[in-house]
Amino acid sequence: MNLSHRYVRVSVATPASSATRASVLTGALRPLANAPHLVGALLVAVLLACGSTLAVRYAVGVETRYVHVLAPQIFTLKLHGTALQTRAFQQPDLLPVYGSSELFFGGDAPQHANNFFASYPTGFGVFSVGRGNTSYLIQAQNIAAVGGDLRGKKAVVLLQTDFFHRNLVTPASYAGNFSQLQAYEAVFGDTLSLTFKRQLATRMLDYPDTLANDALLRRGAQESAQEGPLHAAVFDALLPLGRATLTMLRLQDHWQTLQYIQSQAGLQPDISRTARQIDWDALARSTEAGYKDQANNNSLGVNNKRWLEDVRDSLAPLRTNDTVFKDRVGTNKEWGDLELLLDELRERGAEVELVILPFPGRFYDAIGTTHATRQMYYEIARGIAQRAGARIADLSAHEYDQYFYLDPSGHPSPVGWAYVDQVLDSFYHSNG
Amino acid sequence: MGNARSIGRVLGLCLLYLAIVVALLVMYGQDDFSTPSYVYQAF
Repeated sequence: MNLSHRYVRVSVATPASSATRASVLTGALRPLANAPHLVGALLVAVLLACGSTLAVRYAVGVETRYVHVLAPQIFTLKLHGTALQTRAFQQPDLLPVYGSSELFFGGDAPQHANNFFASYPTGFGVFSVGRGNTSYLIQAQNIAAVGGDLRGKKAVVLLQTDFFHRNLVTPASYAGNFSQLQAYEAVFGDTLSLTFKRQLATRMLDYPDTLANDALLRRGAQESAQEGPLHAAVFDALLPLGRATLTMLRLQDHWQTLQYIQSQAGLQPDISRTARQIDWDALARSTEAGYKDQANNNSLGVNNKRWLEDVRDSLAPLRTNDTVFKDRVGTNKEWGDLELLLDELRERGAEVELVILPFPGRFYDAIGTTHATRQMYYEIARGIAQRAGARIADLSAHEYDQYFYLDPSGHPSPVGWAYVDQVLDSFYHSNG
Repeated sequence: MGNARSIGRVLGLCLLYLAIVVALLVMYGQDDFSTPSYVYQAF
C-alpha cells in the first residue's frame, strides 16, 4: 500500500513536486557549491579523461594506417614502445618476428625478410622487432606489454647462436634495450598471470641498474617477485600509483609514435602489394649463385667484407674448445628467458614458431668446437620449444652450408634469408 | 548574482588547473626518456 502511494507521488509530476525535487537537488549540490576547488578539479579531470580518450582514439587510427609501412623498419621506438606492436598483432596480414641483430645485419639484401615480404608477395608482411643484443628477457617484456587479445595470433622468435656461446647479454647491453614502459607493463600491467609476473620480475631484478632510478618500479618488481600475503598487500598498495604511471607512459608512447610518423618526410601509409608465386628451391639456388662471389676470400663461409674488416684478425681470441662451449651453452641464463618468452606467448594464446638458426659450422670447427658437441645447443632449443608447444623451424642442417652466413655471429646471408623466408611463409600460411 | 560569481570562480579554477597540467606536460615532456646508450658487440 505504501509502495503504490509512493509510486503515484513520484510519477505524476505536479508543479509542487517539481519544486520539491529541485529544492532537494539544490540541497544536495550545496556542499559542492561550497567547494569550488573540488568542482574545478572534477571538471578538469573529466575534461582530461575525455580529451585523452579522443586523442588515443586518433593516435590508434594513425598507428593503424601506418603500421604496414613501418613494419619492416628497425627503429628504437618500435622496440621500446607498445603502440605499434599492438597494432601489428591486430593486422591479419602482418607476422610479428622477434629477433635481434640479424634483423638489421645484411638488411639491404632483397632476400632479407624485411625486404622480401615488403611487397606482400604471398599475402603478408613481416613486422620486425629487435636490434643488436635484444635478449629474450627484453622480448619477454615486449610481449607482456603488447595490448589486446593475442589468441590465435601468430608470432615468430628467431634463435641466435651468439647469445649462448659468446655471452653477449651484459648489464650494459640489457640497459641499452630496456624500456621503462614495457617494464611497467610487465610489473603493473594486466596481461600476465601472477606466476609469469613473478618470474619476469625475478629476472628483471638481476639487472638492478635499470631499476635504480625508479623507486616505484623497483619496489613493484621486488614485491611481485616474492610470494606471501605481506608482499601481495604491499604490491596491491603500490598498484594504483603503478597503473597511473603506466597510463601516462602509454599516452607518452602514443604521442612519440605520432611524432615519429610526422617526422618521417614523405612517409606514405599506402604500400604496393604484388602477389607472385615463389619457387623456394629456385630462389635459394639463384641467390647462392649470385652471392658466391661475395664470400670467396676465406674458407669459413664469411662474407668477404666482414672477413677483411672484422673477422680475419679476431680469430685468435675466439679459440675455444668443447668443454668451454658446453659450459657456456649449458649454463646460459638466456635459455630460461627463452622458455619464459615462449611460455608467455602460449599463455596469451598466440601460436609461436621458433626458428633455430644454425652455428656457422666451418667457423666453429676452426675455433675448436665439434659438430657433435654443438648438437647439445640444438637439443636444448628443441626441448624448450616442444615444452612450450611452439612450432619448430630447425635450420641446423645448414651448419656446413658455406654461403648461409654473413659472419661468425651466424647472421644469415642473402642465401640464409632465402631459407628463413621459406619457413616464415610456411608458418604464416599454416593452419595452426 | 551570487550564482554567477560561483560559476565564474569554478571556471577560473578550471582554467588554473588546466594551466598547471599543461605546464607539467611542457616541463616533463621535454625530458630525455631514452634508455642508456645502445651497446652492441659485433664481430
